[in-house]
Parts: sequence; structure tokens; C-alpha cells
Amino acid sequence: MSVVKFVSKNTIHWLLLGIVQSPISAYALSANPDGTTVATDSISVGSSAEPLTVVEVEPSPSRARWFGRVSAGFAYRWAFRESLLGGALEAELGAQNNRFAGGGRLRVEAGQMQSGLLYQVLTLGPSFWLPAIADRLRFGMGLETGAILVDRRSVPGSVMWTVLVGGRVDVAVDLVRIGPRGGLFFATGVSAQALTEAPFPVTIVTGAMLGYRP
Amino acid sequence: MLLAMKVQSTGSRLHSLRRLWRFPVAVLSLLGLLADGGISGDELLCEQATVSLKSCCPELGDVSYSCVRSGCGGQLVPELDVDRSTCLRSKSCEELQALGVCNPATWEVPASCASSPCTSKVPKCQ
Repeated sequence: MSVVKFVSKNTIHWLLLGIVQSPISAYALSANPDGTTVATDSISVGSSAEPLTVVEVEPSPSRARWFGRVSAGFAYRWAFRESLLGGALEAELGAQNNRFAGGGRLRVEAGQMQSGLLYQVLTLGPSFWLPAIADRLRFGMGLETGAILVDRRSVPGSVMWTVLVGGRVDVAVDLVRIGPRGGLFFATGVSAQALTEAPFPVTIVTGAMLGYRP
Repeated sequence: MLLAMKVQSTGSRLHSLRRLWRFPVAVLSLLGLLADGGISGDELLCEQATVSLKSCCPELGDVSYSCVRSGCGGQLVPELDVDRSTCLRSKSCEELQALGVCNPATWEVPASCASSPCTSKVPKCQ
């Protein structure tokens, strides 16, 4: 019987070969067409008529991989003692293992205040995702800092702005799974931010987003 | 021993990296706070009143007053003061038109110009 070990992108496969026409005794190293290295380590025991058996060994949970996600949706913000409605775009890049994910998140939001003034928000900060529940539901949290800008109507093209600092909690549900870890998801969350100089010092934002995680 | 040296080297490199990013983050945060223009209540009210004014009086072009608050101790203040801005925001379009707000010829010199000459004019509102 021959035992062949080969390493694909994420999984170590042990292939027990029952039928070996010619004994393999050399150590071979080659490359897949997609660029991943495949190492074969063979032990020749002899020829027999045993069936093929494939045993998959999961990669180490501590092994880090790239993590990224992009999402877009609508945002409802309460600031300056009034409602603000807008759209938001988020991009997140970092690292993940089999349980946790974390990285940096950039969020851009733009919309209109109830009073008619246009506003934009730009925030940046660290984010952290907990292990998935039932393989589909994820909870996350993060910190964010940035600025809120309000367009002036008295002088078109100029803005008033102030710094905001806060934290957020998120929940994401996978709608469609793509590949071993990717998918299309629906996300929502709530964030509270302190404004350094504004008529009311706190703003709260929530919303709903659709996103993609490769 | 080699492994211990490697771990120690990696640890000190991580420590150095942590120290490296702290400095620019601290400087950027400080600069951000120092440069914070801030949004004051009277500025926001003035801009909101301007929205009402422009939506009710589309024939009005650029307004001649300023809503900016700036300078040390707020030397420059919005020419539409809080009372006037609140009054303008509380009126309907019909009421604003009846008050003559849409006609710049009826506008008056703002209270902030009492001490120094200026060319700005603001709509009346009672």
C-alpha cells in the first residue's frame, strides 16, 4: 500500500493508495497550475487491491489568512437633534483564522439631514469579528474615528465639520455561501459616536447593508 | 537557544512596531483635534434657515450674509442670529413670502453689524 501526502491551498490530504502499479520511493515536489505548491511524500509498501481512501486533515486553526469584506446599504443617523438619512459604503481588510477575524474598516456615508442640509461622514478604525454561530451568523464590534461634514447652504462648496469618535456592534448573516469562507451577507449594527464640538455631543447610527466577503 | 533568540528578536521587533505606529497616530489625533472646525449651534441654525429661505424663495440667488463662526473667542459670528434663524425656520413658505422675505430689498442690516460697518443684509422675521 502506498501513502501519498499532498498539500493543497488549505488542506493536507493523505491519500492511501491501494493499487500501485509501480512502487514509488522518491520524494517529489511539483507545482499546481494555479501556483500552489504540491508536495508528495510516498511510502511504497507494495501492490494490493485495497480501495482508495482519502483522509482530510483540517489546517491549524491558528493559521492566519487574509480577510476582507465590502458592503453597501442605507444608513439612519441621529445627530444634531435631528434625523439624517443616507447611504453608506464599508470596506474592511485584515486577517482571519478559523474562528476570529479582525482588521481595519473604512466607512463612507453621505446623505441629507431632515432640515435639507447635505452631510458626509468618513470613519476609520479597527474591527473584530467573533466566531460564526451555526456557520452563518457573525457578531462583530469595532472602534471608529473620523469626521462628520455638513455642507453650508450660505456658501455653496464649503463645509462645517467636527471630529467623531465611537464604537459599534455589528451582526452579519450569510445569505449565500461562496467557497469555503466567502459569501454574500446581510449586515446591520448600531454605532454611537461622540462629537468633539457640536450642538449635541452624541450621534447614533444604524442601517442595513448587503455585502460580499471573498 | 536559537529558538529562544528568534522568539526574543520577533518580540522586540513587534514591540518596536507598536511604538512606531503610536507616534503618528498620536500626532494625527492631536492635529485632528486642534484643526477641528467644530459645528456650533448658531452656525447650524443659520444654515438650516438658509435652506428654508432658498427652498421657499427659489428666485433668491446667493445670500449676502454669512453663517460662519470663527476666530479666537468667536470674533466672527453668524449674521443670522439664533432668534432670527429660529423664526425663519418656524414659518411656512406662504408666511415667509407674506413677510417679504423673498424680496432682498426688504432686508435689514444684521445686529452684528451695529458696531462696525458692513454690507450684509438679512431678512426680517417677527
